[in-house]
Amino acid sequence: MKKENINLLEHYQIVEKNRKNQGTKPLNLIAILLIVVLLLSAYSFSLFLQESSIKANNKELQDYTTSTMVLDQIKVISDKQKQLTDLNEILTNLKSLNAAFEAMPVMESSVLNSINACVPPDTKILSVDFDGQWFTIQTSSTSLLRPSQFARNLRNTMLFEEIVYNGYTTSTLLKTTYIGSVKIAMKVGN
Amino acid sequence: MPLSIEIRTKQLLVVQTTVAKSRVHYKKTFTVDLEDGWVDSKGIINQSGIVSTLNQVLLSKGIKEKKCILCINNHSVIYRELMIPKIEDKRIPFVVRSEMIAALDLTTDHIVDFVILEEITDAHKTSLRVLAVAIAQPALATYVNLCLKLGFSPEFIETATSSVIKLVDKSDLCKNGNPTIFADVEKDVMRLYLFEHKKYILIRNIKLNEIEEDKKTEWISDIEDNINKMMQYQFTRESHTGIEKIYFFGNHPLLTEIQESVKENLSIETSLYPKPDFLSGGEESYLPYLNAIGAALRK
Repeated sequence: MKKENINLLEHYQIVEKNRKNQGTKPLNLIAILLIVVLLLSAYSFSLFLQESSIKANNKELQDYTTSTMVLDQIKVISDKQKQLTDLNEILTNLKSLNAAFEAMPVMESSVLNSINACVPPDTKILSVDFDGQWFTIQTSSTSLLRPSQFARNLRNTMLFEEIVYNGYTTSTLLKTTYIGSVKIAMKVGN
Repeated sequence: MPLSIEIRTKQLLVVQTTVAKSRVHYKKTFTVDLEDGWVDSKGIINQSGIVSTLNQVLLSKGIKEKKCILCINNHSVIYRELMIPKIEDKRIPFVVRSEMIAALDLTTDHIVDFVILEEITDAHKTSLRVLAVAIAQPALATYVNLCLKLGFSPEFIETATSSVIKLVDKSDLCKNGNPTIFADVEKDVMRLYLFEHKKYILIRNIKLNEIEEDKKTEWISDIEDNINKMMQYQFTRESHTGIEKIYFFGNHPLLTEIQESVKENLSIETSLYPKPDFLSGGEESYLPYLNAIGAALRK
């Protein structure tokens, strides 16, 4: 090291700088603290204003919602909604019924005429039942050949999907009568 | 051209200088006398008095310089020679400061600076011989404040002894290395600087009394006695070599008479400090302003 100059000023400036820095540190901290406090105060005040505004709006809304007029309107709306629900339920049922009706087979008068045409002589139709799929026709006749003939006649018309002949039973209440039973499945569209 | 201002207890010595790398040019020089108590060991006591006085002189001489260099040459600066072990360069300032505080019982608000005089190796142990300077921070603040009140921008603040060391080294007056005394004779104090082997050895301050009209010879005789003491001291040193020459400078009105008298009565070669080769300019004598010129030198 070759130090040949003295400069007291340089050391003085360093000491002064350090002294000023030490002096300004607490001031800086106080300034920062004050700024933080001010910012927090301003923020709190803005929150307070917002809360007051919200509270005022809330009271207005509460007054509106609890007013008699609105309550009456709500009651009307509730009733209407209930009615609407009932109507919708009825509509659903009607739609179901409609669908069921549409799905059920339809018997045309020509078909009944054809069945009548197949009834052999001395034979009467006792009953016609329909279970949704099958027509069950019971006949009474004095000849034991008539029930099967009726079934055969029906089959020969080719109008039906299927003819099931169930045979006959004998009734001997007054005179011997043969009660035949035939089941008819209609073709689709009839 | 910055002003180099030497601040003594009772005088300000001002030189308008320009310092190039190897040359110093001075233009105007002037001295301002100060009243008692304006400057003491606490620095500048009467700021307004000095500001007013110096401003008047600057105005009258048409000097409008704003840069200045201060050379403190009064009791506010304390010198101490220290021997410290050779350590890392960056640790030297701390060690010097600690040694100064311990040796002189200084307070921690003292500002300490130093110059390294030489490196001494003795029995495989290397030491540094250091000239340390201390000044109380409040005292130094008064010098800085003075500059600010004068509208000056201080570039650096030197001390008288370190200025003389630089001046003598730059003047190359100790070519053969023989012991030499440089006597700075001021109005109220004489400073004797001893150099040997081109190195600063020590300083001795001698307070000078007022000269009484009829006792001028006795007064000069006292000066001779003090210089003789320094010469005798030199014989006690390790080299046992006598003083080869004494150079005189300063602003004492009897400077030439003193120089002649010492030459005659102590039988030693004397001379007024010759104008150094690196110094130019100015018609007025440079002898009173060598401290201020030395302060302006930067090495």
